[in-house]
Amino acid sequence: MKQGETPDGAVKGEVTQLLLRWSAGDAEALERVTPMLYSELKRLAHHYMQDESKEPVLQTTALVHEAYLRLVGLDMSWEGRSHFVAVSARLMRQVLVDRARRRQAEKRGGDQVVLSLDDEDGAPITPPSKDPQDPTLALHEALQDLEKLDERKHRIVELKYFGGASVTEIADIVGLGVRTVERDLRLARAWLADVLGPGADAVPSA
Amino acid sequence: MRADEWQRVEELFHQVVELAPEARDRRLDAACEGDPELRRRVDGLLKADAAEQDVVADGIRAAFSDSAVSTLTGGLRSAPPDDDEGAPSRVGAYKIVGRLGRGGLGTVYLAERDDEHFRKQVALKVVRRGLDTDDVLTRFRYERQILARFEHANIARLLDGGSLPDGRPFFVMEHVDGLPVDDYCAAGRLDLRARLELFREICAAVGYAHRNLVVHRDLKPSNILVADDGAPKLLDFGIAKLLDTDENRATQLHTTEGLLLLTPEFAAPEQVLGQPVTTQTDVYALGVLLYRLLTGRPPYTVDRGRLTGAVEAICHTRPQSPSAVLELESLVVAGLTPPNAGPRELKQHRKALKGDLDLVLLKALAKDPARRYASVDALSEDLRRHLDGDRVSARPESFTYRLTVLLRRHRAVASVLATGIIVLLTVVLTYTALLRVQRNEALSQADTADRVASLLVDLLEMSDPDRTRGEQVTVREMLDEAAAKLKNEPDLRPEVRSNLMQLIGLIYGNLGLYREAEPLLEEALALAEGHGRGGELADALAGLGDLKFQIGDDQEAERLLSRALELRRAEKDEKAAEKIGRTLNNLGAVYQRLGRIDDAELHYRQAWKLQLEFHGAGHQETLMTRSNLATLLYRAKRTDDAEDLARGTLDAQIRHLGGAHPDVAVSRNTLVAILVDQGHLGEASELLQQVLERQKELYGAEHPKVATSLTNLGALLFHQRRFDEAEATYLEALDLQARLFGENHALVVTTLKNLADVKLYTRRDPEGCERILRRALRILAEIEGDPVDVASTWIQLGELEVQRRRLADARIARGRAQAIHEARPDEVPAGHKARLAKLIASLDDASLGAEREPQ
Repeated sequence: MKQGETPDGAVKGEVTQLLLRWSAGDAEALERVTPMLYSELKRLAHHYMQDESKEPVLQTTALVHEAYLRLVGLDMSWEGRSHFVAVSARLMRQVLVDRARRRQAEKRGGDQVVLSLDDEDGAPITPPSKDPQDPTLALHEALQDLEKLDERKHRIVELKYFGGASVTEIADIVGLGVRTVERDLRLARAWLADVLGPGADAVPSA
Repeated sequence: MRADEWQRVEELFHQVVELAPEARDRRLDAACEGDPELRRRVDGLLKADAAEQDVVADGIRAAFSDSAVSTLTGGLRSAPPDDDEGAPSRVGAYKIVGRLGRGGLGTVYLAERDDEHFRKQVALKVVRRGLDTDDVLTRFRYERQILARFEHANIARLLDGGSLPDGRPFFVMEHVDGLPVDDYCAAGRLDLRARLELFREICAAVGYAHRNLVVHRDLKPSNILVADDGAPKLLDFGIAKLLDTDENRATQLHTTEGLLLLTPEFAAPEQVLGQPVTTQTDVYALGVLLYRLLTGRPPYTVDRGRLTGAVEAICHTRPQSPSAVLELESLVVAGLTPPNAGPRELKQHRKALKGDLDLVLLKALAKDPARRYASVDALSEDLRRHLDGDRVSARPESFTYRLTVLLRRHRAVASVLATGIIVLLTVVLTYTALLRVQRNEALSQADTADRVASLLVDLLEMSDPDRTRGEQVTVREMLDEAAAKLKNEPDLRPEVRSNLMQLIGLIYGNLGLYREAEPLLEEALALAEGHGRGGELADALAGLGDLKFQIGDDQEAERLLSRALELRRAEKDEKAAEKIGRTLNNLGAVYQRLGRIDDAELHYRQAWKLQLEFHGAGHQETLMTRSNLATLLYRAKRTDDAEDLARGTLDAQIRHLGGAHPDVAVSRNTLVAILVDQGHLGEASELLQQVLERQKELYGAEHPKVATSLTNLGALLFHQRRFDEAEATYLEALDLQARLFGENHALVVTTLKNLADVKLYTRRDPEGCERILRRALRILAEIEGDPVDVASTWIQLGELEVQRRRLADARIARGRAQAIHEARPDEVPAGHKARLAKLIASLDDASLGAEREPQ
């Protein structure tokens, strides 16, 4: 699928099929669905960033929903949807991080990077970048640390913030009670704030 | 950190996080004994938790806002990567110095006029490439036209406009350096009153736009900036639409494109549904805004990601009362309470919103545009009332009140009725009719009763909250429906039909809907003539007679009411006394209008006597008759008697009925007229203003009584030589009367003649004055009006022609007036005779003058 095109019925069907196959345990299906999702999310993100909306956090939610509607439509069961959200959350984060990295590169004067913003393949570029001034990248790194420390909380944060899933949806996806999810979220937020906050002394030992 | 260490941190965190500080410290001291590292970690987490900072959200926000950041900080010398249209470095005489943001239609730049003398910063808006289709270009040119017409301190001014070499249009607006209104309120921690006052300023600006026939259609905080000095400015009339443009333009603007450019959180149902956008659309958006400003929360959540969900929320989710949704967290965020606020502040704020502000907001946010405030000004006015401690108009009770008033006049029904809600009213009215039929016709067929019952059920269903989506059905809708059902109910017995028609007709009449009432009451009478017994026929005669009086057909009213009175007197029923009293009073009013003063006084006094016996002195009907008598005495120029009677009646009415009772307004009106006659203009104008206010509250702006008060106010202003105000008031009255009664009506004549007097006095606009007087004469001929009125109109015309030195025409007019006066010397008031004499004298003078002038 090329970027910017409205997915046609065939693509929609394909994404649905791949998601179903993946949920049935087919790892190759995931590999095939990922690029489609990635490019769609990236395209949508680009579109959304031109929006003046005041609630950017809701945009990830909206974005994933929109991607779902475009790629899958309304004809999928709940399980299918939760799989979609699970994959999208990770990809959404990837999209944002990639954007942030390009932005860093651009600030350092890399003209060619500008061109690659709208590149066709959608392959993430991953220059090693540790610019403490960029909040998105700092968050990304803190999340990586959280993942090492507590994979479950990391997953929940990702689903919540990048997948736009509600607490109830998360509870279903990760197989926990709602109360546990809420507790995990609260602790994870505190941990991340502690790590990223102004008074934080370097990255805590993980 | 090892997994078991982390687990220990986690457990301890959850154990203490909800505890009060002291208990928390004790618990931590105990748990971390000998493990300072554990304590340090948990403390860090607790501190971060307490700060309630959402770092994840911040990180994502940063990613989304990157484009704006990079272009503003990096400048525009190197083309910003995501700026597909390519920013111009200069546009016409303007140098671009930064970008302010993007709107639905284009990009807004910060620019400076490249002029040595003026270095003024402006906002420069350029249409987005790719969007510059013909449609958008049309809109853009359009926007320029609209803005250029605006001259308002709170609307960002249009300074300049043009098009780029590539054809993209641009325009230059006043640059507003301010915060979005919600942020402004939060940052300055504005209290409730300050917010309401600021909001009213915004309303004033929107009202100005509306009066210029422009609807904003996209009101939201980012379009309403507040500068440091606290003055709000409205930006971006980007999708504004002129109400009065030709059809093509209007439809062109009403496209899917338009829908996509909506801001869902502030969109009104009609925008989402693609229905016509009106000034009420802005009322809705302002309602959403005010809801947020006063509660810190949206009236409902719109999920931007799920289209169907968004539509559902906007069109069907009824917002909760603002006072019911308050929570401390959002109040703190919105700056409505200090950060350390507790339940006490929450309670205070809830109390401040509960009642009036709840009602105002829910009215502004009604899903059906027709149920919202009729205008932004009305919304603002209600907030003013609230700020001044007055009752707001947005009250469900006002309806009830109107009905209670209505029912007081139909006591048979009122006695059954405890509450006045419309459903009950209709049910009881219908049920009473049913009972009456059953009482009178013990042997009536069972299926007749069934039919009435099923009509009842239909009406009940209409008010079923499920069917109406919880919104009240208006009396009007209910009546229309009931009337239609009645028509399509062929098998009803004539008695039942007659009764129901009469009831519905009476309610129409009481609401001032005379045209709807008339056919029903006429048919009810026809049915009663055929089948009714004495009492029922009398009711039907009286019902139609009252209506004929209301619509100005006095001859017919006299005929009908006399017959009704005759039938009632023959009834010999003790209870008939009540109805006889009422009919006597109404007949008195008819005589009064027919100029039969003695007959009128006789009937009023008879009615009063009967009502004193039957009801007592403090009863509404007794007092009404007394008030009518006062009016009559005033008309008969027995001014001092009239004043005593009027003041006494007014006091008694206020005492027995309360100051808000509509009859009090009538008595005030009479007293106003008397005071005018006595030359007490100050007191008179004060009273009359009170009357008008009350009446508008009570009956709405479109009611015959409002028209009458306007006419009177005009007269009073005229007496005070406030001619411009008088003329404006008369014109308002005229417009209302023509709409309510139709062109050919005696009241329209009165107002026209009054208006002509203003013009005669000011000697401005003689052509307009002639048109007015000719119109009056034409109507008088059409309705075979009072000859005295015809004569006085000719006198006015004569005066005008003398002013214009058209002496031949003036003489003709004088001749017409003279002929009528000579034919009926007894009917002509002294004032008219004097005015004619003056006309004759001035005509003689003018003729002499004209003869002396050299030809």
